[in-house]
Amino acid sequence: MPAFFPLLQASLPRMTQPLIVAIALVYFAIVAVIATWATRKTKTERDFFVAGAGVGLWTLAIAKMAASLSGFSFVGGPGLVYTIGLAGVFIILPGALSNALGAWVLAKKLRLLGEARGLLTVPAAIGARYRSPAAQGLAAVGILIAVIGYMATNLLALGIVIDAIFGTGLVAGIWIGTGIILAYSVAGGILAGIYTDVFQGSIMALSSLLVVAFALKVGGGLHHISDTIMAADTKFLGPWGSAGPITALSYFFVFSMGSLGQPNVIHKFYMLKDPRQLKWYLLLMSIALLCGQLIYIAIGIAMKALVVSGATAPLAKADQATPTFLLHFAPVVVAGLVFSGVAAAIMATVNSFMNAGAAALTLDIPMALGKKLDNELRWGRITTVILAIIAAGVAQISGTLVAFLGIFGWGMFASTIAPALAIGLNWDGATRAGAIASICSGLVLTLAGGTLAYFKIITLPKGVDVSALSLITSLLVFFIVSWLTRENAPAELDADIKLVMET
Amino acid sequence: MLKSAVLSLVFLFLAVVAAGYTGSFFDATWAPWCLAIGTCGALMSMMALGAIRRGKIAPVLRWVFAGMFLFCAGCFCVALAIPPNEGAGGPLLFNFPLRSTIVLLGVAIVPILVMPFAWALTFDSSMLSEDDLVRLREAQTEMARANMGSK
Repeated sequence: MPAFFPLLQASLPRMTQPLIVAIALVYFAIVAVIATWATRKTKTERDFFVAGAGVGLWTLAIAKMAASLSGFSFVGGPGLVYTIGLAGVFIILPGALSNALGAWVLAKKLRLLGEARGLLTVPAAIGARYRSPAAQGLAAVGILIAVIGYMATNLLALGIVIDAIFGTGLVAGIWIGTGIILAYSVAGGILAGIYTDVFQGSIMALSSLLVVAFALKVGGGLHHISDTIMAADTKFLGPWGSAGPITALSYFFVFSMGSLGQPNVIHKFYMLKDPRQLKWYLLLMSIALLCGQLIYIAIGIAMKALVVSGATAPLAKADQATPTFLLHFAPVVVAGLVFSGVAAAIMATVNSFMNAGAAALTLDIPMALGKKLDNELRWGRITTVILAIIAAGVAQISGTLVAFLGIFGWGMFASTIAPALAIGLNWDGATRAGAIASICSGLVLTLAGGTLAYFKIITLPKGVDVSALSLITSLLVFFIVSWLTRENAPAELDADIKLVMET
Repeated sequence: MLKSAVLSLVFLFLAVVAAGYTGSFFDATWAPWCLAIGTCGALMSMMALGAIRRGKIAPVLRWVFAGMFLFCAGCFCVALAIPPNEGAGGPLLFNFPLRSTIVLLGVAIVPILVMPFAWALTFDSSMLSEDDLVRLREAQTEMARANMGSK
């Protein structure tokens, strides 16, 4: 999920109530048991990076949902909806369409390509498609840059949650959280990650559904909530909220089209044991995502109704919408479950990013440089530790820089990967030059534009984000450069890749 | 031929999105319309691109993609066209403000009811049948043998 509004601003109230602490402890204990079990099964680099390509459909769908939703969906997202109304919902609204897009454009082709070439990473698919180590390496660099920012943002959020539940202090919370995720990510790689994701995703879905029920009950039903808000704020429940149509529709574009470039999510297609199981993938994934995302809308709107009706005081900070609702309007057992769900969402996301970053360092970048590491499993573990320590260090010491790093995470993934991979796997006229040009334009525009916008050297129109501009630019660059170099296309497509594309 | 046409559509709709972003720099009133129509068009035409097999798209999927484009973009356009009326006593649909319900139905609820079933019900015939998989694996084995032989 996006790092547009990272949890940096969250200063959660203390939740050190015995029942919440107990539920959180049980949650962490179950994660430890699952991770230990899965870790014993991790024997090869294929287990470490693609779970041995032996995952079933239910596992895939729930794990993909868990990796898609970060702590933002549980805390930052409801806060955003509380602040700008329905415009904030446009970040998750494209879910139904973006899942379908991923299914038709990527699911089968990535799965079959992974099988045909024994691929372990997303950049490897780009490298194979264009027979280009350079394109693979550039895509890996984009992933690496984005992963550090994303992980730092999420580790800071996890530190905040652990501090709020256990009263550890923020710095200790960051390092305890990092240590827990590292323990199973290093030992078991994505194999341990994916099975803990299933448990974590189930917690997220259950807690989300419970919160929706309580939000409707506390607000007096949807009709009453609508009437209450509409009487006090004429824009909040309008289709574009208080942010306007450009903001809402720009979110819609970035988070639908950009979903094709999220390596932590699309990478999981490699892991499915039987590609024919994809038949019911879209239905299961849609249900899982719908369950997990309802909390995002429900709390933001319910808190707005409660505030305008005078049932509770206005929030000092938007990110306090979720904790305030849970601590004051939901049973403590539900609060405990949801806070465990927040930790689950963050941990599932960080694990996937750790693995994607480690794969980029261990597999893709050496491949681009014409080298192959001797023991990829061992190097995968070492680079996982290094990346986690860097990200946790950034989260601890860099203050607002972590928000800056997180801001372009989604945009970097989208603009560097989506055009070359998603269109390239469906168009045999796409060329290596088009892929490299689009990846480079995504890298440069996101980094340079993000930096200039963050330091207010350039000002963009209201609602327009650097991520959106870099995504649309890299998509168009991909088409135009491929068209200009179209005579090279046939020679750049290997017969086995063409076979997969045509199947 | 069909693939070229669909690719042209993808590019065209992306260009419309780009026009929308360009217009936003000038506060153009048409900018949101471009973003709405362009994004819906780009999404549906890319799905259609992914659904092309051996130069064809299953007829039912043509209707699904074209229909969903018209429905999603239409819902956005209706919401953009209707004057704002979300104040006290404003019209509700399913207990939620009218324009917002139209958007939620258009881009979330109806797609979630339609797309998974369109995918599943055409999967065997238009995406990957058991025979397709067997043929692909046999062809890959043949290629691998040929490559080994040539070395």
